[in-house]
Amino acid sequence: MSRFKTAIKNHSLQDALLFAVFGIALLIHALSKHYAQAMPDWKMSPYLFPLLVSIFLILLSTSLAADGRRELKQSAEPKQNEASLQLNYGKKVLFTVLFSIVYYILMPILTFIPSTILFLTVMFLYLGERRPLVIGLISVLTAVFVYALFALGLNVMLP
Amino acid sequence: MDQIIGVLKWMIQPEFILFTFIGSLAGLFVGSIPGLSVTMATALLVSVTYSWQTSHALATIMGVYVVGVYSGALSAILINIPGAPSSVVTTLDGYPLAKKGESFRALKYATFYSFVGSLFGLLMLWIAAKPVTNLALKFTPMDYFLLALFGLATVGSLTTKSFSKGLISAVLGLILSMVGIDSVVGTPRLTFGMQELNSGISIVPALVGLFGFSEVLFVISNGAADGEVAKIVKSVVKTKELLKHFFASLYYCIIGTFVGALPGAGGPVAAFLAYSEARRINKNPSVPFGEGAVEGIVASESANNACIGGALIPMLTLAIPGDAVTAIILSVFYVHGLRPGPMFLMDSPDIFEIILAGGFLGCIFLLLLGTLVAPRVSKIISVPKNLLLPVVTVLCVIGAFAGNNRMFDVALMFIFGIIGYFMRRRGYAVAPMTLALVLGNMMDSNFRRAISLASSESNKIAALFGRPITLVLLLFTIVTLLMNIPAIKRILSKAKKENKA
Repeated sequence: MSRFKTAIKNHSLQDALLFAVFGIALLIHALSKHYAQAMPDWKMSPYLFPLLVSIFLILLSTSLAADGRRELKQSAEPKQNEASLQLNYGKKVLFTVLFSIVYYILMPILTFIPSTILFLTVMFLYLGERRPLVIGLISVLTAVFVYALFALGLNVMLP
Repeated sequence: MDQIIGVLKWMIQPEFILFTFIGSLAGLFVGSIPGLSVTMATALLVSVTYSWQTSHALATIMGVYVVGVYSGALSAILINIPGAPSSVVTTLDGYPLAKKGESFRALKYATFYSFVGSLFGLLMLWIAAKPVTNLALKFTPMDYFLLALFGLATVGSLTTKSFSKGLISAVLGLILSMVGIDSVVGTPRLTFGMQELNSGISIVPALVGLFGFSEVLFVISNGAADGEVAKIVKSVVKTKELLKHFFASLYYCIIGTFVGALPGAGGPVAAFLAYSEARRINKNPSVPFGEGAVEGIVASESANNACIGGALIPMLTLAIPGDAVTAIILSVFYVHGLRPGPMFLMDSPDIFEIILAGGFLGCIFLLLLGTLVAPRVSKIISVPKNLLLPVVTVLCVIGAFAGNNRMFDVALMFIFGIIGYFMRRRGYAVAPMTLALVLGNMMDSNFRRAISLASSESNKIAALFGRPITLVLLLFTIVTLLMNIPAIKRILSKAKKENKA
């Protein structure tokens, strides 16, 4: 059971499984789409290349699985300190992505400058900046400067 | 002679000089700040420069490229964190020298030999472009397919520790490049009914995501470490002493140019190779290697800067980029309606002159900025990451949006950023994916064209692989693939050990 648990935790094996599933899905998709065409002919079929690539991906995932097996033979469990450190920074990455998604959603609603000021302020605070003047100045100046450069200078139609 | 005059004409145009200078200055800042890379800057620039005149866009990008590769050495020397992957080797001797209070000397060597390397690489580009083009004119669709495949196999083997991971990254890039209306038949492929995907995955948001946003996430995940900056005390470095390593540096430049021309190998590999050669050649260095030997800085900086010219050779003549930056520059060409390849030198000789002129001006600015500004760069390097990273995220959003003025591209950028982040965390290099994204369509259409042409021949195998160029390319590809299979690698290393014993 513990060997199984260690195997599940192995990154190469996890990735191998993911890519094998992805490769098989692409293979099925390519075959089904090809034969759904009116006159299926592999020579010029748009699904010939996806088919070959999917087969190659499946082969590579088995090679990755072999790498994973080799790692399992030599590996040790990740140190607890390392794991907790990764978790801590993983959380930071997760929140950065979440803030970015909110920024993406808010931009068309609030328009570019207000949403950018809001995003920058939240991010500065989240990443540990505590000086209100620095936060305010950099947020406003960046938003206005980028807007002036792109919208006025380069005629990009920002939201 | 006409070409020399053409290059010089561009080099004396005030506007052209200004744009190259702006690019060089941007390259100096971006390259010297750890966490911001030349690749990221170039990717962001694509969206800024799309509405510019081609000459201005290329001048800026060449400035960023030449000076950006050099300025990675600044943070490598001053804080022991390479500003660019190709400067990793410079940390080995640059930082120990800086710790001894000789950072000014280390910077001087890095500046001068980066200049020599860049200049050498660009001269090689000038000399080699025509012969390579003549060869490329004889290429058939199958040759192009095999050349791109060889490029992806090389990238896969050189950019990560695991060959499988390198190739998987390339395969994922190929799959993504197939999304959109098929260029041969004209039917939608892998779009799953999404109208926005009919035109394919836009290269710019994908690149900005893979190199920009993923880098932001990666730096945040690593704790946004800011190193201690070594103090710069001015000292006199005699010209005679500086030039002592000139001839050795030419040898490292040859290594750099050659490695740069191999698809995917790039600066880090060239710097490592040159460094190991420097250790082999210099039996009595100024101080032992790893403790501040200037010979190490000379080798690393000459080779990684010579890669610039080298990487541009296959990009311009075969449309096969030599590294991630040239893959992005290739997309700049496409954005501006240019078609690199065997006909490029004949169809667009002026663009070739612009690239050379931009590169040479970049070299001059490298020397000027390196001498005048680099010693004062420590303040830039110490910009707190908690202020820098959110601003870079905003630039990524704008960079993705600007090309097509649509929010869908921003979403794509975020998705590619997240993919790039997870790939890096799991040990997959993003360079193979970038190259595959750029080359995928070309590979697909050439492969089908080759199959279609061969289908009417009586001997199909001979029609596909019967020509000498095709055979050589096929052989190279097979050897690259086989030599990197772990089991074969183990057998080879065993045999090597036995031979030594």
